[in-house]
Amino acid sequence: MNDAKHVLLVDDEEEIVAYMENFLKRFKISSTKVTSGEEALAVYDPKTMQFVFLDLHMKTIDGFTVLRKLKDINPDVKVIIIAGSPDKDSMDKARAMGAIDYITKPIDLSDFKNKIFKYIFEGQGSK
Amino acid sequence: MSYFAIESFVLGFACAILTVIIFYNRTRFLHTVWALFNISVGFWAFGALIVTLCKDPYSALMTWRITEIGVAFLAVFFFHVTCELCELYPKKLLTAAYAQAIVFSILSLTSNNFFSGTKIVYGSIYYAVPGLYFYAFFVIWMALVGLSQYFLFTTYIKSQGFQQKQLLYFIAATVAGFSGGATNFFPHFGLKIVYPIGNTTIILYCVIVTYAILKYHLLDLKVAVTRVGIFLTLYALVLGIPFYVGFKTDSWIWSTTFAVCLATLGPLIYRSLRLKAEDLLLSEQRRYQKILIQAASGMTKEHNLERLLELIVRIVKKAVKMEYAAIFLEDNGIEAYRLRAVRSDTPLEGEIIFKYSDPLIQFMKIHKEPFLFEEIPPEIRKSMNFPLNISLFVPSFYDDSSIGFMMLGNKLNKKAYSIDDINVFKILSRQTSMSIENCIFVEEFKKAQERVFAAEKLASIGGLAEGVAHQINNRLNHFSMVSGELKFEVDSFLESHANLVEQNPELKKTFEYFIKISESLISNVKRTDGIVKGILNYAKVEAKETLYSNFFLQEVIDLSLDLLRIKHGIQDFPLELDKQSSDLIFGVKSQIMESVYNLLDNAYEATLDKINILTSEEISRYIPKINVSVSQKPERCVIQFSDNGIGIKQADQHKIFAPFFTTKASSKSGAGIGMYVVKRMVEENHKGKIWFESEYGKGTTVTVELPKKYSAGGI
Repeated sequence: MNDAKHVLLVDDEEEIVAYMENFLKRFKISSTKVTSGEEALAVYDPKTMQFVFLDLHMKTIDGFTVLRKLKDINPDVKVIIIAGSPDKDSMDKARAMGAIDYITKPIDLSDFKNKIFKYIFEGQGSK
Repeated sequence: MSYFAIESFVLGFACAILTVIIFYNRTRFLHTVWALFNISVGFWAFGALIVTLCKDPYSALMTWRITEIGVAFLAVFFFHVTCELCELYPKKLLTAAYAQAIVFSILSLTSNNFFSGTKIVYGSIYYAVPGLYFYAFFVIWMALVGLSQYFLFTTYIKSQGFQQKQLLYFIAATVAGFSGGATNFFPHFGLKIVYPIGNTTIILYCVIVTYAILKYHLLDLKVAVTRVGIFLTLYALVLGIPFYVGFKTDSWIWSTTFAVCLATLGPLIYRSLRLKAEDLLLSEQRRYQKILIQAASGMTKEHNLERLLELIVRIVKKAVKMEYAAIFLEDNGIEAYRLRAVRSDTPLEGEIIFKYSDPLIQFMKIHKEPFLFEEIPPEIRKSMNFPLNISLFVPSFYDDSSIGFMMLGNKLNKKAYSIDDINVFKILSRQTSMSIENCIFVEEFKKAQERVFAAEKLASIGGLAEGVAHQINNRLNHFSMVSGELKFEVDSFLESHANLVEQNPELKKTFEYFIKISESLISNVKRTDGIVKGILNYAKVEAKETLYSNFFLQEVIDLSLDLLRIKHGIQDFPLELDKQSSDLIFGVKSQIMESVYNLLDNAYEATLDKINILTSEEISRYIPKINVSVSQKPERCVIQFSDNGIGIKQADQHKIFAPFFTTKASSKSGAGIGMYVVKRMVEENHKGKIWFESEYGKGTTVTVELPKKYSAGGI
């Protein structure tokens, strides 16, 4: 876990993950971007990827399944959900499955920045 | 006892019964005079009976003198009845006729010149011997009867159609009766012909004519007369021929043989003659009865209630040709029978209903069979306030429960409804009730189908909207991130090149502008996102949201207003929220949201539509207002939506909650399921209530009542 600032970005919209990757670069955070649940599970490396931004609504495997499998691989993985419409039910469910927080679509970059600071910089520091 | 005595007794008895019946059933002055006529005939008959029983000339003479009063008056009453029947009113002549009857009655009682004494006739009867006055009396009596027949005949010539036929039979019957009756005069003058057989015709004449006139409506005079006429002629032959044969040959074998043969053939001949005669007489009636029966059997094919009712009244009116035909159907909602279809020569104004409590309805429920105006008890007749004459009333029952009735006016040709007519209407009413039930069933079935369809439609709209919303959301993500990027880019540039920017006001201004537009972009993206989410929530109505919760109406209204502003392309929605108490409500948020959205949308469109009916001056003064008020009651929460829009026309009010009903002309309006869905959400899902009050041109207030507690059987 040397490079704790490496993040996995999972969203079925190519451009979204591209923007997010670009944005993370501002804070010197490297990332791996994938556009499906299968890819996410294929590339996920528990050694390097402490943080995952995960879209819930994806075409083949949905976010919940990916979340559960990620947790199976690495119970300590910190997953932040990217939610299109954050209804209470799904958020509660995601939280129960181990997600630490969520950001909403359309992504507000200042909100995204706050979450980055809160979990990746401060959270890591406090740990 | 002699034949004469028996005959007199039967006649007197028959007259007594008839008098009672006539008097009890009388509806016209004509009937009163008829009753008097019967009294006088009966009076004479009983007198004649007593005469036959008298054992001495003196008591016989006295009886004759009293009895003759009846004879004097029966001619006058007959004359009077004829005048009434022919609608002639020769006042002086009538007065004179009554006067002479009185004079001769007095003379009969007092003068020996009327009856001078008695003589034995037919072996045992003391028959009065006429005096001079009696000849005068006889002449006047014959003249009165003759004049009556003349009146009848001249009226008969002038009359037309059914009336003419009716008069013809009346003439035939009276001619027969009086020719038989007049034979009673013969023994006075020493003539021994026909008498006492002649008297038999009086009884029959009396029975036929009086019955026919009384039961004018129930029994066609011509049919009654024809049937009885055929019957009498035939049986006169059946009995007369053997009698005559027996009399001539003095052989009982021959007469018995004839009697047996004729008595066997009699009923068969009677039947075939009767049917032939009636076919001739009733051809017109049979024609429309055939049409009605055909119509009745074809009715079950019609499944649209409105069209069915229209069809019935049209056929009935056309076939029977009456003043009007109207159908009333039960309406449970208003506890009354409502006029649903009418064909009338005189137009009927406004909504016509008969409450369950109406005496006529009560009478119908007891009676159950079709009835004539004459059969309605007088006290009910008085309380009726239907604008047209009710001639025939035909109730429709289905499985013992009344579903409605048909009301018919008088026939245009003034004919009465016959028993056959009534039987046809009975068949028609049974068929009608089945067809109506059938229609109601089909319509209910259709409604059920429509509900399923509406639900499916909503679900498909929901699915579509979700897909579209997802796509839009993805686009919004790009906008959001790009504008976020822009802002961050500018911010970081300003941070790293603070001095440079400070020194260059132009540059500073440009960067500040960049920040401003990026922020504006972000906020617009957020608002658009809110709208998309709103659409998504709206479409999700039928989705499985089982969660009841407490939430604020304000919240739901704000969400609806976002959508409505977009829908109508307006900045300000003319709404006032009037919170008398807390606006906390309990329910399924998405469903309440959709209901509120629909109600506010309707209210707003009503204010737009109102402008169309205002003059330009009024438009300048018109301020659209939509008011929502919330009040908390112990068990429920009451929300009222009032607008000063166009309102709902009376005729449309009952259709408001029907699926696929819309008064909105604009292409923006939906399929007309809004209010239907709202009603189902409020009443079926929330166990609440929804109703409205509206006045066209003034506005509408819709009230929604929601229970505060969750009740079983929710969504």
